[in-house]
Amino acid sequence: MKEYNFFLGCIAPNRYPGIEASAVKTSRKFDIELRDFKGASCCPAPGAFGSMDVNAWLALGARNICLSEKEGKDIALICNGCYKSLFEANHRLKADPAMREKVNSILANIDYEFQGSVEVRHLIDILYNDVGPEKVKESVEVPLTGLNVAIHYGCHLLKPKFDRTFGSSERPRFFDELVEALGATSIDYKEKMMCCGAGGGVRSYKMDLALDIANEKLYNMTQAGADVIVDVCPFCHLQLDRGQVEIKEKFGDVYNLPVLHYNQLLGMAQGMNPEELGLDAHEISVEPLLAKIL
Amino acid sequence: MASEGMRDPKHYQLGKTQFDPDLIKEVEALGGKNAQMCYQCGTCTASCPMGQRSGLRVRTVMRKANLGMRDVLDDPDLWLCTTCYTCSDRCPRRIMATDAIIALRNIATREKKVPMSMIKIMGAISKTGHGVPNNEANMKNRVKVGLPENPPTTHTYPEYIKDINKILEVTGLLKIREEMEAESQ
Repeated sequence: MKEYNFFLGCIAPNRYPGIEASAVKTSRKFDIELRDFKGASCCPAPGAFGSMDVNAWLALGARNICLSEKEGKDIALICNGCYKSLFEANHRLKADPAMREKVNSILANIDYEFQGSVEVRHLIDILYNDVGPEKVKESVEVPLTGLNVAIHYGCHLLKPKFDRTFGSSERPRFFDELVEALGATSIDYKEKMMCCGAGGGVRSYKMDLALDIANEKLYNMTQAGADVIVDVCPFCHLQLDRGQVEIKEKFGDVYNLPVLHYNQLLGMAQGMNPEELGLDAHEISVEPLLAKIL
Repeated sequence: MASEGMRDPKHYQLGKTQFDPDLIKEVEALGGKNAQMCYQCGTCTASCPMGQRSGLRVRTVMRKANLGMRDVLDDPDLWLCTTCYTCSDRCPRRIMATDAIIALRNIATREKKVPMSMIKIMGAISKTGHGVPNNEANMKNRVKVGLPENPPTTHTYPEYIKDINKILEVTGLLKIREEMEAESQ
């Protein structure tokens, strides 16, 4: 049994609790326990907060990491935005003594000190590199055969590539392999690696432009015959799920394309019911999807 | 003397535009590493999903930053970058143009040129620890999937929020927020 402090961030626990619940439930099948991470806060939002002050962003991220260092636990998380904040803060502060000194001088005001003693992992990284697609496949009880999945990697999982461990951000395969391990088909679509449009504070600054990017992605996914969008980031998830309602209101375009976080798709393949995965809390109905696979 | 002024870039001025040679050094110090290496190939602008539908031109931002044109800080399009990092991953000079934009936004924030939408996110974090706080409808959804009404974060342990505000205070962000909120009323 490997235990991680489960860093929740904001959107998963406070908008899509099914993502949080499904991560905990599906991980147990692989002897991974995602435990309560007491006192954690917003990562804080990298695009919005980093844009105001990078040192404050690093210090607030480091505060979260320090809490986990005190408990001697590595951190697991399920959001690309949180990944950018905490993975980069951890990585940069370990690698750059001058930056570490600067951030620690800020943290000294609250009697914290960054030690560099824990790891920060995205759950999709743990599933691929530690558990592996084969074991994921063995956990499947309801194969998702015939399901066309449009994968959305999301930007901050992979980019900037020099600050990550996944290699090329142009044509990655690991997420596709994890989806295919469930019996589903990962379909190719135009501009697959394009941003969802929400990041950098743009969704709250100029929503029309943020949604215009999402609209292009949704169009491309639909054209390629997608049954469902699968993501690993609750903020992309919100942009692509609730965004469809906003796009309908603002631009009149209708897709009704269900959106699932990978952990929710994994939960379905592991035989969990849609209610315990929180699928009924999504804006876009998942009924067509359920009809296809159950 | 005018001729000496032309040799000293600090005094260089064309029309109303001031050229500040320290701007690019500030950008690099705030994380926009190697920004001075930009040779204006335009791979960034060509790769930018936002540039295709707005006035954001990453190459122009990089040029203005390198020339020290501080009016780039007043450009509302500076805040349209979604920070997707496609430009940075494709840059043949390995410049993190996204981080250069973030650095320019940091400088603009100090000059209180940050959009109020950003200040609002700071306000939510300052108050609750979360940029996107919980709400009643979500509490019900949490219980339905077997979770407690509130996550075990600052929502359950608000005693941790004072540390967050201390960090906002010592980095000067709290003051910027208070002043901008007062001015917007």
